[in-house]
Amino acid sequence: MKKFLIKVAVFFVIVALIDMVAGKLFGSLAMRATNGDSGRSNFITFKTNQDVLILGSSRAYHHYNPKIFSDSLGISCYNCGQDGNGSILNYARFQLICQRYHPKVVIYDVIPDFDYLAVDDNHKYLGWLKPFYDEKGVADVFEMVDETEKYKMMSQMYRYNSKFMQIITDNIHAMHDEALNGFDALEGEMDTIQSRVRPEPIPIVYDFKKMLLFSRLPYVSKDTKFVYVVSPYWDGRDTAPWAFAKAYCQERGIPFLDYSNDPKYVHHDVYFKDGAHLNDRGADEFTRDVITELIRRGILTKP
Amino acid sequence: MIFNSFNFIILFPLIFLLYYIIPARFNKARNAYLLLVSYLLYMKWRPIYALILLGVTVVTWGTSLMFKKSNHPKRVLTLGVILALAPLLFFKYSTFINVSIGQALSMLGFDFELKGLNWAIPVGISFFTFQALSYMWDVYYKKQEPEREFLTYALFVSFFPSILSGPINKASLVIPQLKNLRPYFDYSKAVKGLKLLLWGMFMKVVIADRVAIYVDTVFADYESYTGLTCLLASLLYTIQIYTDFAGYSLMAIGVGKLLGFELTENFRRPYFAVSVTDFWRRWHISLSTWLKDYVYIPLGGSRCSKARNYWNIFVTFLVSGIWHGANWTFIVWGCMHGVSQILEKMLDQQKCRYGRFGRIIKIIITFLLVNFAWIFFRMPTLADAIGVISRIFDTSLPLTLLKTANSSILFMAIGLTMLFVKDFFEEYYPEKCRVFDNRHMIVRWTAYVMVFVLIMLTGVFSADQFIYVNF
Repeated sequence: MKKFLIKVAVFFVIVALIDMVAGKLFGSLAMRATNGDSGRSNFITFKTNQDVLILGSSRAYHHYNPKIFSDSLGISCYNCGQDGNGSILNYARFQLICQRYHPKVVIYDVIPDFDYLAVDDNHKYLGWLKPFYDEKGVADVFEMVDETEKYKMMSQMYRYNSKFMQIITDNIHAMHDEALNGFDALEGEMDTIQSRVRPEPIPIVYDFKKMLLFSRLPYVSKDTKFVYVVSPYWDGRDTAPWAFAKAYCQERGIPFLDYSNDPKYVHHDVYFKDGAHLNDRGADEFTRDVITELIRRGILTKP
Repeated sequence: MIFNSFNFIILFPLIFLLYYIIPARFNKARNAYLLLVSYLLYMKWRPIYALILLGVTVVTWGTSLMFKKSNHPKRVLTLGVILALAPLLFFKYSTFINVSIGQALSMLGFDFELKGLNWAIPVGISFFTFQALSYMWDVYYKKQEPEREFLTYALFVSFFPSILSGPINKASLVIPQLKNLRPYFDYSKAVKGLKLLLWGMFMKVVIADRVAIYVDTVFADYESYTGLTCLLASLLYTIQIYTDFAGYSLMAIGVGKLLGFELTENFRRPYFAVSVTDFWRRWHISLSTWLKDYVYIPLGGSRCSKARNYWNIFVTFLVSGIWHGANWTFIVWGCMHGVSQILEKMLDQQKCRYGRFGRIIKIIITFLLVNFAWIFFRMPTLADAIGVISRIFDTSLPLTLLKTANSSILFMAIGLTMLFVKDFFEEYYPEKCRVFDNRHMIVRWTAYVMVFVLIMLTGVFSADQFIYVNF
């Protein structure tokens, strides 16, 4: 038994040493990355200083073109949208940003599944935050998702789990055009197969942890105006899942712009890449519509 | 207990150390401790359902003791079987029976539906019920002495490594280990246990949960994807279900070995099978042995007319389908396996006599047949299964694939290559390329550390459910 326990202990000492080395290596590579998604994530967290920030999921990432903000209004804008993410990542990122500066306006593209409904395992929303675990306020978000995360994060390999290849490649070659300010335009027209069928409605079950972070977002900074937006869908949508966000905004006097069933976009293939995502043409058109509406409401002003 | 959960990583070392604090001469105390741990872990899910586990245990133990005393042992057996099966039938099949009757009656113009039958199924109920039934039948047929000590029998039924997803152990294997004085600590067995635990974990978190991301994305919305994507998803599901279930079984057997027990082998490189018949000698071995011993042989096995033998095979695999779940998809899946084996028997294709090339062809054919049947197993309804198959064979769809992240493709490739190489050498060259059992310590330890590091760096830790826990 003694021999067995000693060997097990030796094994874990070796693993701990590798874990420390991996942590140092990947930690330094992650922070040095200026390209790809890792570089973009570093930029959002440590370097954004724009007047307008876009937050949300892939529907934010692909739907708002920052160049149109700067060209038409002369203000700077950065798109911080992240595929498959919602209130958990966006809250943690936004509170990190607000430790440095306070953007004038935040446009948040709402997607109930990611922002406040109980749909998935919330661990998946922590992926992009793991390298920033030691930054102020991030650990609290991890603890909110899962109390055991603070123990798991003691392992450096766990911290860079599944991301280390991306971190390495993001140190080698550029995948994003920096001039796009975080925006990723989807080129091409409506996919002939994907997502023409409206998904079956899922039962509305709230995830109170996500809901809490979603509700706290507008109050992270007193100096930032928040606007919640629902961008267009090819087939439109039953708006019931957005009822919470709409009621919340009405109650707090936060602008809520719903384009989910806007006839200008619904069933217009030229604007879409798939059922849930606008293509580059649709994104530019939609960005212009949002800007017009924000000017009309006095949130943004013409130069 | 879910072996890839954080709870397991924290709790198991404690369970292990406390177990070995008890001196070996206090065998009953050790068993009582394991029984307590098994019940406490089971109760973590839904405490009330431990009463069902206890009920099945008491019924099968009591019934088995009554055989000798009773003048009508067959009646006692029948009563015992009905009582032991009742929770399984109620929790697992009542909704299915209710809905099926309702649908049949609605076609005749009647409205019929019993409300409130949609209860959560107690985890592992199919496994512990079948294990307890096998003991009862073995005692009835005098293959096994009835166990007088309730503690020993209760531990046999509820032993925590195997209660959730098997293996379905035979009483003749486990009860003697529980009764006899076990050595305080078996070093070589414990080391083997750790190796199995490590490789099982690799199969589960590096391969099964990684490919599951692709499979779940496609099958959840298969109408949005091309036939090629659906085909790839079905092939990956074939890998997923193997690595998920075999990974769990290896971990269960590994945990058993760490505590000094031998449990039933459950998988033997099933995708190297040369026929569907051969596949079932390698896949879920503890269930196929159970079905052979308690369904196929009592029906007459192969010692009867050909027609009767074919019928026996069909019924056995129908039962297998029903055991897996209350859904027509499982029944069709079971029937497909039964019919395939009947055809193989009729055409004398159960074994391979065609040399190396013929063997490769037969392995590929078997893999594709099994893969095709898994589509029915995976999809929630028969309509969905047919929908996926239709898309696979729809030539009008473009030949494009759903893209996934490059890193995910790389992690899948690493995991699948390692799995293939390991299984290939174990199948054909068992004495060569023994990395975990290499005589050079440096090779062994490098392999252990490398596999552990790969688990930590490339494993998927957000998925913590095993497919077979649902059965």
